[in-house]
Amino acid sequence: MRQALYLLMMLAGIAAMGCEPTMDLPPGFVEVDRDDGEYDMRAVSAEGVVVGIRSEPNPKQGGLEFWAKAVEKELAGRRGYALSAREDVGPAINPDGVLMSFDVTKQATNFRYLVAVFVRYQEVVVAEAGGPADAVEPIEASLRTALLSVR
Amino acid sequence: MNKALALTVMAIMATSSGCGMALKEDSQALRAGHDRPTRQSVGSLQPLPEDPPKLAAVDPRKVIYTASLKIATADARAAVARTRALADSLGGYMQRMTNDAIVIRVPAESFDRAMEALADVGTIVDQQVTARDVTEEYADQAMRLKNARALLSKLQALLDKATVVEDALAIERQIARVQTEIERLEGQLNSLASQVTYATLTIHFVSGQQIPASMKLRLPFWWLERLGLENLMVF
Repeated sequence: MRQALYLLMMLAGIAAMGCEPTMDLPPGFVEVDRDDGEYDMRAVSAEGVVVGIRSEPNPKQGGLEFWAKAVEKELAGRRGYALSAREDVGPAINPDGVLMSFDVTKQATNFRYLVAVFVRYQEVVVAEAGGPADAVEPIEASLRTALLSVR
Repeated sequence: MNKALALTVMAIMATSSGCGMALKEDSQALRAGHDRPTRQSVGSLQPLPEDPPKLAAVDPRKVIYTASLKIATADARAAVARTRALADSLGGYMQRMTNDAIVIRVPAESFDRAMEALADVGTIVDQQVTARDVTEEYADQAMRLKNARALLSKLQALLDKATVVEDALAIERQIARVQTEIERLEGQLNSLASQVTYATLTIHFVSGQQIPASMKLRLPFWWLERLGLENLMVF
């Protein structure tokens, strides 16, 4: 019985490692991309808000704090995104993650960008959501829920 | 008599505008920081303006320090307030300020300390520092001022001896012209002295959005550069 349980757990782990991450889409979003070589999945709303998931290798098993900080430094430190919020999140069925929100102005338009970073086994999973600020703000809560539903 | 008087005035002005040996020695004395030549008192006219301002004798060179900095910070208003407090603490003052920029003046001897302290206010994105040596310029202006005062004294002495109204009026016109020139030279010397005594720092505060990306370390994980709206929203 014990051996069967161990076997079952190992098979589940192997299966999870080979599965592309996915998320529960917010209402009003339609999937447009799946495994296009860069994103595991992308979906859009009619208002031009986009959500996406990417998973990247983490063979040296860098920790969550490292990857969250690397993402923050890339966006805020090098690309001019202004970090507006950062929180540690603990979704129910996933490892702990970090959720950050940024504001950025491009071509006189204000944008809001949310990114959740998770470390899962030997990969880093990054869930993104973004669009014009006036389109993101009304649905920001549902976007947050979607990003934290990544599995 | 009128012709003689006119010729006398012209001769005095021609002599005083040149650079004699005595004046050259005075100029060298100024550069070395020695005692300034004394001025003569006035007869019936208003007192002569004050001597050229005294400058620090520690360093005989007269150098104007200016700095222009661009500093990245999350809160420009707070950074402006902090910089103003810095100027006050160094014995300086705020000359001009807006929501995201400030011009401060600090004693020249505190210039280096001010630059070091500003590095703690935010991330210095760009800076330009200039040190302009105005020793020669100051000495030249001081020499011209001395010459002008000497000419004024001579004209005043000539005025005291004038007996004809027309001659007196002509001399007074020259005196007025020379006094105007003295005021101009004094203003220039005061300005130079002020710029030497106090360094000027102009600081513009920018938000993180304006930091050039090329300045920052790029981690060796290519996909980090693919994050963000620039790729997420492109199909």
